[in-house]
Amino acid sequence: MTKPLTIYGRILSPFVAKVILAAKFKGLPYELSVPKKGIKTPAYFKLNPVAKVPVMIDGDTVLFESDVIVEYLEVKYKAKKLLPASAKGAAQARLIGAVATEYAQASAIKLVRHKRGTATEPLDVNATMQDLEKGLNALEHVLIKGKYAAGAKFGYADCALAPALCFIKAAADWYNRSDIFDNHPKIKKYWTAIQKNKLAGPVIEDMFDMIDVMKAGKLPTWSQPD
Amino acid sequence: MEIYGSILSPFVARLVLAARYKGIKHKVVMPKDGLKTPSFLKLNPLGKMPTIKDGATVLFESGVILDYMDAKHKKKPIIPTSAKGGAQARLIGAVFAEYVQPAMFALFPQTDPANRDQKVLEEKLTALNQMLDVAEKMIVAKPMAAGARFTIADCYAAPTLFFLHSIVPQVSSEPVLGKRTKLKRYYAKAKKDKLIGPVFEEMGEAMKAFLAQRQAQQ
Repeated sequence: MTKPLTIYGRILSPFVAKVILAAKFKGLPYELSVPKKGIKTPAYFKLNPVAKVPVMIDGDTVLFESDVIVEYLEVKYKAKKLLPASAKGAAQARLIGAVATEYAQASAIKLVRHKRGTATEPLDVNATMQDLEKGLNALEHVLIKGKYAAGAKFGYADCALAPALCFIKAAADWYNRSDIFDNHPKIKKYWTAIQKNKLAGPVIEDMFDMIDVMKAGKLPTWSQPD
Repeated sequence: MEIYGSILSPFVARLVLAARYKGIKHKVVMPKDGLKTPSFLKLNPLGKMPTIKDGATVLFESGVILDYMDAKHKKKPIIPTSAKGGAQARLIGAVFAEYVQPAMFALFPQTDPANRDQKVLEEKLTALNQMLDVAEKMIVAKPMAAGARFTIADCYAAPTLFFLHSIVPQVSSEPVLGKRTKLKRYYAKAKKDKLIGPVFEEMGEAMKAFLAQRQAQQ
């Protein structure tokens, strides 16, 4: 019997949720937890010298950076593939993931930290909202027609996109922009459908629940912005 | 494969290194009217480099393109094929891409003496040094970034370190890599490497041309 993966982090982090979705899709047992003494300890530093989440431990393999972890799981556990076999198909899936994470999600994270008071730099809210909009435009451009982000099957892109849209929606709501997806028909359609998905739906719900705790000021910080 | 952009960009240089290593025919082309024309935005709505056209396939985001190159051209993989080996190479690359390079770019505004804020500069240098400490911990340098052979880690590490040596001396008289033996060893080898050395030279030439042009416009 395989030992479960250890994943350090909290589900409200879209980076953690990305790894969780990949593990769930592949049917990999895992344990999600937060180290008792937090992530700024010398012990955690040995696992991840940039002191962030997620960290994944699989036997004697310790990894950080969510994309590195997902790519590792894809190669190590071949039973259910996240990526299509064709070079072009895989690239399209990775592109959706990259655009979702690096642009729209990144802006949403800045907006959330600003509201939460954990930002390390002052923020121009209007400019960041414009960046978020640009990121959503780019995402709309790369999304593929079909049931899931990159076509007919749940896969790599969905692992990134579902948490990204959840976090973006939560951020936009916090700034009274609940209409954030209205000008982006592909995104809006996907967002409606993915919340009902057997795999992603519960993860999205868990993310929203924890984000609500954070918005109420009841989520402990570990002196590191999420 | 057409790579839109300039080798001056470390993001473009990543692709050039991979393409040359793998023997992929390619051309680096800077679109005459820039990256924000309606026709370029149709390829990449973010209007950034690198963007590639490979037959009918259009892609952007350098990491996505590096993976695409390995998937399309199976010879001379840049990502080791074992799960753990692949992860280690990707992780070293990610440390340079996600931590060292952004910390280095954060120094850019301080390179203009007219706009320099000493307090901000010192904060940014401290942050950069912390990230270089992480890179020192993770890099293998035997002699390549992830081990004996050229990998995706070198695609990220080499251009970042080249840029570092251009930018940091403008704002600090401290040796760029300090006492970090593995990074120093790696960079010294990279400069003499048959593949990486020429790319460094071309980046340097492109930088000189860019600065000369900027000077001429002032």
